[in-house]
Amino acid sequence: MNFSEVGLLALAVYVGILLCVGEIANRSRRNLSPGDHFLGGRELGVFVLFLTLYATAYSGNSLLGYPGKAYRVGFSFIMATGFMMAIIVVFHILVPRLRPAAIQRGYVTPGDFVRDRFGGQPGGRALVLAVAVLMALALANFLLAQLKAMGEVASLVTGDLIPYSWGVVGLAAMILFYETRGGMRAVAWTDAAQGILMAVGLITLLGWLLSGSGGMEAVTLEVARVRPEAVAVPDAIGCANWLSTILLLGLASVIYPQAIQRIYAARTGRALSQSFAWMTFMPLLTTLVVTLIGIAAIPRLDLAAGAATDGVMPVLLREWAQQGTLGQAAAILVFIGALSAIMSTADSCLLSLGSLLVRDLLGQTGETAAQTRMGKVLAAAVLIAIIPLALERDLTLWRLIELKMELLIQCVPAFLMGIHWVRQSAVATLAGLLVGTAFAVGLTLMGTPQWGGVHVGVIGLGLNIAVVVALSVWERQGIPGDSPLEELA
Amino acid sequence: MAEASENGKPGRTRRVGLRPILLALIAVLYAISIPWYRGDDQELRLLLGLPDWVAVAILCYALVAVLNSVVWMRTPIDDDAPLSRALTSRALTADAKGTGARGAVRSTPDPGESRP
Repeated sequence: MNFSEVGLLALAVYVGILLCVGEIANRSRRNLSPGDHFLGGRELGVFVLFLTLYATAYSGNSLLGYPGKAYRVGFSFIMATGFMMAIIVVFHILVPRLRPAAIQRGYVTPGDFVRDRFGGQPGGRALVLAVAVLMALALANFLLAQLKAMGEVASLVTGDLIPYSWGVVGLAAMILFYETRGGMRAVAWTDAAQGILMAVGLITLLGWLLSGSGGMEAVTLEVARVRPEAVAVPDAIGCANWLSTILLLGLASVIYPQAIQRIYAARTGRALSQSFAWMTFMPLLTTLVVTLIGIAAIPRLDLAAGAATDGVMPVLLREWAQQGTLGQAAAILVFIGALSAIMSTADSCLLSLGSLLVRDLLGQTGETAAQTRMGKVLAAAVLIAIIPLALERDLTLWRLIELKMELLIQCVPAFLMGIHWVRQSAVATLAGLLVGTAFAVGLTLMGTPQWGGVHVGVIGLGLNIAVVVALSVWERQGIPGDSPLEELA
Repeated sequence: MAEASENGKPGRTRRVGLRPILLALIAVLYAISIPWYRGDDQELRLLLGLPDWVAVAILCYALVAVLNSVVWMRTPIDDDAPLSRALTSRALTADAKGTGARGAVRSTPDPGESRP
């Protein structure tokens, strides 16, 4: 069998396993309530929770985009390990207070917290809607990117036996099937398998690359010879960009709806803290590995300037597959691992979108089966609406993808400040969100995504926080006995 | 959750006291991981087979991982813990502004309904 046929067989086996897991998860459900469907009955234990957090955090962008970025910019992309780890550090601000509230108040979506915290105040409903709109846009954007990546990988692993368009439509249908049937249980269980595949595949690939290049020192010296700027120390703007990227990704990723819903879905608070204790090591095993893979590719590949650097990983894998049966099997393992990473992120986005649309945008609350059904229908409708966009293979969406984090980070004050600061008001939070979003989106669309290396989303967050603090303090000044200095909860 | 310390008192206070120190250390490691300290015109120096500033960054992140893991293991998340004042005092602040917080309370699902 050649590479394409083995790839097709591996893909068929993988998809078959996903469908079985979806069916088993469907039979394990207790009822049709939103808590059971969207949060797996809040019974994810340490092992599954850790793997689902891992598989969800690392998307197609991590496995295909990051090696390409490291190939292009060189060693300074080591910052990626820092920003992925920063997510687990920033969770300290949110999780210990959000988790008890989620259990005691029965939250299902991120908007449930915003509604609970600000809903009774003037402007509260508008704030819930504004947060939901930003999150839905970010999720839809993220889902679209995953669908496109799924089509690319399916085409690559089967040598185009499955064309791009079939890959997008077929794999989207698979996700819709097991997510609709099994909800969060199916997503979490498939994530667990996908996480293991991804980690094994990446570490194997790095081992092959380093052993074939004479070790890390030889790779570094060769990179310095062929492209000296790739080993150069970043200048002041580069260092500012390093810090800004850590802040942008670290803060915005904590607000990912699918990440917040996993906080709600843990069986116990202890299971959650143990999962995070393990998760904090995963950037060293994943992000650092893909960064080194991209750097090790610099002396091996000579991609033309301006070429799509997302192609670095596939080119390496094809080269690996030509080195005998073992290399072929290992390359297919990595391809399936990459597909796993993409699908696990896509299914989590879709599940979160369903719940977010029905509860936060349409304002439905409670625990009825009808709400779950509506969430499934809405998620399916969004997926079907996005597929035609994903089929446009040459559609360039990078500006929108860049905007995703700039949008999400503007929700930070509503969550990370709102859960701590008693006097923060809904109107102030809404005003800050609008100012920060307008600033970040406006400058990005005008072609100025950074100032002095600092992302406009981070500067927008600074403005956002300033507005929230100033307005909250000003609003409370008229209330007898209120001192703005006393209230950090 | 809390463990007895040598003086017989619960060890929770000691644990909580260590947490901010470790988090501050993590912030310091993040600051060191960025090569502010190196001029961008200096020649390549290798450490562990990598440019020295890259090796320093990786070592910092490895230490962050260890410290952060310790902090998470020492973070007691009690599902039945009293809620943040930001959540429990919202009715008071809303009433002080002349608006009820009923909307928020009503819109929140009954906890009993969602628990398995």
